Amino acid sequence: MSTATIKVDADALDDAFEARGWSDGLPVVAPTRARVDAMLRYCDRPADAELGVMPPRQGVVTPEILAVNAVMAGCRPEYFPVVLAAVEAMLEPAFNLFAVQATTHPCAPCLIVNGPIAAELGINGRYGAFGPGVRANATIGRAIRLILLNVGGAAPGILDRSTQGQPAKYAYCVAENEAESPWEPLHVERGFAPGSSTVTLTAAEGPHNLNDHVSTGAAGILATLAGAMTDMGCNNAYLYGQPTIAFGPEHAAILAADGWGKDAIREYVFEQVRLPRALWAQGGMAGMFEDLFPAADPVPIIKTPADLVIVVVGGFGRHSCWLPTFGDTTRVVTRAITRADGTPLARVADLAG
Amino acid sequence: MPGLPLIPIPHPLAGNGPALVADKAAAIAGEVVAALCGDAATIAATHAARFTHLTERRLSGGAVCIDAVCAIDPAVAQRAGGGGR
Repeated sequence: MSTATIKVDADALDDAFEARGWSDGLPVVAPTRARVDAMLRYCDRPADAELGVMPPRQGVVTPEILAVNAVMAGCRPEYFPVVLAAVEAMLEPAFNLFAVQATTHPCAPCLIVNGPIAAELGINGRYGAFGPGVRANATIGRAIRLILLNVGGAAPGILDRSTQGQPAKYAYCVAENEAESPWEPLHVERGFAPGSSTVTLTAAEGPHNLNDHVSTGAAGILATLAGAMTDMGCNNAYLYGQPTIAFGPEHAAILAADGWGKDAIREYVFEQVRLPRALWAQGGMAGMFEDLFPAADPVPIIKTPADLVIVVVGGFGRHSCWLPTFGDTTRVVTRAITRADGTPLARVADLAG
Repeated sequence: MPGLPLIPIPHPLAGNGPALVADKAAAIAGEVVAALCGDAATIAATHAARFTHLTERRLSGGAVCIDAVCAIDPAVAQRAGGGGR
């Protein structure tokens, strides 16, 4: 893919972009040369460097085309290193972007940002983090969707075959609330240094609520999540994969106070979140794929405890959520936010010099 | 591979009966043959703008499905014709 300059009256911009399918349906910010160049100040790679090809259309990914879409989404220039790292994560083979883009399942790449850059950019990990109101979350998430549409060619009904889609396909970006988590943050669990910044991508459905207002101990919260996650309608029931639980900080604090760490919760979910085989076999995707647990009754929804992703997201209140995924054909990928030479970036401000 | 000519078969196939799968395959067979056997420059030119044109068609048509063969399986549709309980 290459970029081109077009002249269009400002009042006609959105109509012109919409007619060409260059939009998510919302008005876009005009990607003028000056705005794209401002975005590229936060990138130390050549603007035309080929970073890969994005399926399913096999569009060539360059910093410049990513910057064009980031401008269109409304990103501040300093958000660009997060957008770039997220795209690099999606292009890793383990993420299987081709399938994520083309499936009938309503998954969308969800970005979970960890480390000091999340705070530097003001990416919300507290109240309403999965919802509206914060420019960094809204526009970084939107930039990813515009890139998937315009570079990857994932136009609904054409190469994006999602039967119904979902609202998170507009924007899906949060920070982990590390400050109010009793546990090790996601990126450190996944092998990155505590002071580093990362973006983790998971191909997920929208958040499914886990409401427990009455439990004062871990047992009730765990029973609530087991009841909610024993879900025959999610892909994980048949394709396994790596679903995420995003605990609100109150639920996380109660669990930690009762001595529950992430690994113990993972073991609990593997053992307790199971569907009776007689029910499991009646519908869903029974018989379409290899049954990993032919002798198990009831049937677990994850292949191994380690496959459960756990983070802390949100403000106070007795809600958590879980994010079912597309299945085990896509794996969670974490990418450090770095300079071009791979050196971890301490602050995005350092890139602008 | 940049520029790889892609001939999409209308997805999904999982719930389709044999006749609909055969119809979908037949609908793209000509394009597959052309992509494999045609002149490389012509193929590249045709496919470069293929999805932009498809998007324009979809939007101008009211965001409807643009596939020539994309339907509820006829066997299911026939049964659904009776309404519901």
